[in-house]
Amino acid sequence: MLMSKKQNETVDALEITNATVGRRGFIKGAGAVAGTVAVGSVAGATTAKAAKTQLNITTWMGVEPGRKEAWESVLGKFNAQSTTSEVKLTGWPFAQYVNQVLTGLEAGTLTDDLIMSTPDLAVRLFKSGYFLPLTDAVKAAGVTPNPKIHAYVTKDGACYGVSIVTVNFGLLYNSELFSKAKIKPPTTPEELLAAAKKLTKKPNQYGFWHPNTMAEQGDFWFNMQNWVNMYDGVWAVGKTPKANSPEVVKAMQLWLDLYNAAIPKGINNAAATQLAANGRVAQGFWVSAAVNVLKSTNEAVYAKLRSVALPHASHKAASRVHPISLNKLGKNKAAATEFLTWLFKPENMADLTMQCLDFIPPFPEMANVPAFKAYLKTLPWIDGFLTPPSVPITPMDMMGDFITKSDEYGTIILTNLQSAINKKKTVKQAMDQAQKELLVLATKL
Amino acid sequence: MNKRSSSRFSHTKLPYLLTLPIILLVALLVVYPITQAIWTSLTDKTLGAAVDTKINFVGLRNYNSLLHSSTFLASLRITTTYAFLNVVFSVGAGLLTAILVNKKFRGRGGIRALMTAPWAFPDIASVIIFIWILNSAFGVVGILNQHLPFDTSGGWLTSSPYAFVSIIVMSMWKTFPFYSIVFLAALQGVPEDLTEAATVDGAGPFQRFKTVTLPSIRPTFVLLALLAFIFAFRQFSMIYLTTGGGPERDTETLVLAVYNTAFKYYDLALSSAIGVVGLVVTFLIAVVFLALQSRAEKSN
Repeated sequence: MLMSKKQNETVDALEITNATVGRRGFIKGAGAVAGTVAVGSVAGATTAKAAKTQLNITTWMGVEPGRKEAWESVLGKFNAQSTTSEVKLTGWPFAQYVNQVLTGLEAGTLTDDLIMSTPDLAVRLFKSGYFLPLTDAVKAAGVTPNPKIHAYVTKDGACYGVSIVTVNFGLLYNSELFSKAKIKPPTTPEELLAAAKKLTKKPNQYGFWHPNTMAEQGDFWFNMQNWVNMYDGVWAVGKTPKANSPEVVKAMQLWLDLYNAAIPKGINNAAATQLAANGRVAQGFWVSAAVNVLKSTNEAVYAKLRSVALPHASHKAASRVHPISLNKLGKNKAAATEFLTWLFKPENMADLTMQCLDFIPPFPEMANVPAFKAYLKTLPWIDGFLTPPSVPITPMDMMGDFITKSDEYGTIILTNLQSAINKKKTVKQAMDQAQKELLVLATKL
Repeated sequence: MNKRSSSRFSHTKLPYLLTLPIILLVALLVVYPITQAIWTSLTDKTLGAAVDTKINFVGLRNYNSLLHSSTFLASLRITTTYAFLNVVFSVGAGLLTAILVNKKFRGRGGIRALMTAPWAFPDIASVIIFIWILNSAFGVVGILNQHLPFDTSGGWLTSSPYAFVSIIVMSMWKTFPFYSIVFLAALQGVPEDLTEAATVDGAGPFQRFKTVTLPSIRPTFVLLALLAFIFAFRQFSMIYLTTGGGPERDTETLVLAVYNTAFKYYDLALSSAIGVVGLVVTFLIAVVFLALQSRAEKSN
């Protein structure tokens, strides 16, 4: 049934009264209008639903155990409150994510309004001009993104991405297995190797977790990239690769020793993680987000999880900042900005962070949310992830100018490392060969 | 007069009109992508470049770099070896099993049905099964490892040369039923009187096979060998999911190289060049096979 103009105005007013978020209310700061409750609320609800703008967020989190449920819960709140927009998650699993996003953008078919990125992907998309500044949303939410973790997506004072999750690498371990073996978490590389050996009872229990198949090269390299920190090395400085530097060679040798002694070989990442969740893997260098995956896989393991900093002198570890950005090819920029404004409100971001079992605030305002402060005290497993130096070591710091060729760099390292795994070369010889190939790659940068 | 011209139209134009939809479909789904790939291979197009990046024509630069790339040449060698071994083992196993199930014995129908199972399995399911079977710690083959005279502790899918052997075995297991079914149909078309005459003349089983059966099924044999070669040449999912081209690129076939170059290294132009080379090689192989068949038919 058609409504009169007056009825429509009344319905609009009603929407603002009943909802906490509405584009009109958000932009103009319009207040509630009283005395109109009697007008058909069913008609109003129908109109509001029909008028809602559909927003999509391209992400891998929609298929990640634990994180998926957290996002659905938070989006559910927004969708219930908003009279103007409805947000849902789309995307692909992490292993295919970067390829799919790049292909979609290249073809012009990825027109979702918001995109989440891995650090490497964010650099590429930011440089390629696919991101729009988030100035309006950041200002309206009244937050100040932490410049340390957002520097790589900031230009001329404008932030083009705000961290939706920042994860640090740490040594996550199963405290029960360590107690049974009567050993303490390692603090040096030597102790790490010794502990891993002692905790390995193949095939029932493994002393260390690490992806190691080329069939899942993305996971393999994602984890291996962090290993360069073990001896304070870097993979590259600018356009100069450092694959055969003493630091890298020592780190790769340590990894190989662990691989031979304590890592479940040749199984896929999901199966290895299942082993860990079932209490059959003692420790691993994990990003903090893995806790949520392990908990979602097997709730029982959660209470046993503890962490320490990476076992070496400086405790340096990689931090990975995953920003959410406005897609230049998106069609609903105003609605997307409205959603981001809501999401960046410290209470809402804190809610999301807590539900995802994360703990690193993207802006200082969130740290002051009382519920978040209380939440941090309930996480006995975060100590090791908080220990890295105050200035985060990002993939950009480790990869130099190779950051946009990170996968190709990874292929070269892992392919050559396999010749050491297969005992055809020493680690030094393998990394010398990798260095030669990387010098060729450097010419393409 | 009108009737006559209408009849002439139907004789001369109608066949073209009737085939037009399929010609358009082929043009859309085959000719256009191939033309696009050839064009891309002559440019410097990359994936994820800046929004306003201009694509430049670079001539044969990508082909030149392929000629000087040891990785590409290794991929080409691996692909042809893999395809050749597939022809030998898959088509060979198909022929042997077809000969077996062509004999009359009890339960033949059941065996024939069971034999098609590997072919009917989806690739992904087969791959997952093989990954577990071949796992050195948890798989069935892991138990055998201890009793083998060679060291497979590095894993069947993660160490050389076992990864390559594993994908050959997997491919054979997956594809031989198809060849077997086609061979079976061909074997059933071999004239029985010829076989009986050969038997009467004193020919043994091997001689009967060589002089009667094989010549009768030769066209099928050549066709299947060609198909097996092409199927193997473009095999992607099983290799990608089991070894990812590793270890040390030992199983990186041309198709995987195309994928890696495009989607891991973001070089669409070079990736297209690899694809075009693959297309040319497949085409040449097809020509050789067909020429061999034609010569054989003439000599008969």
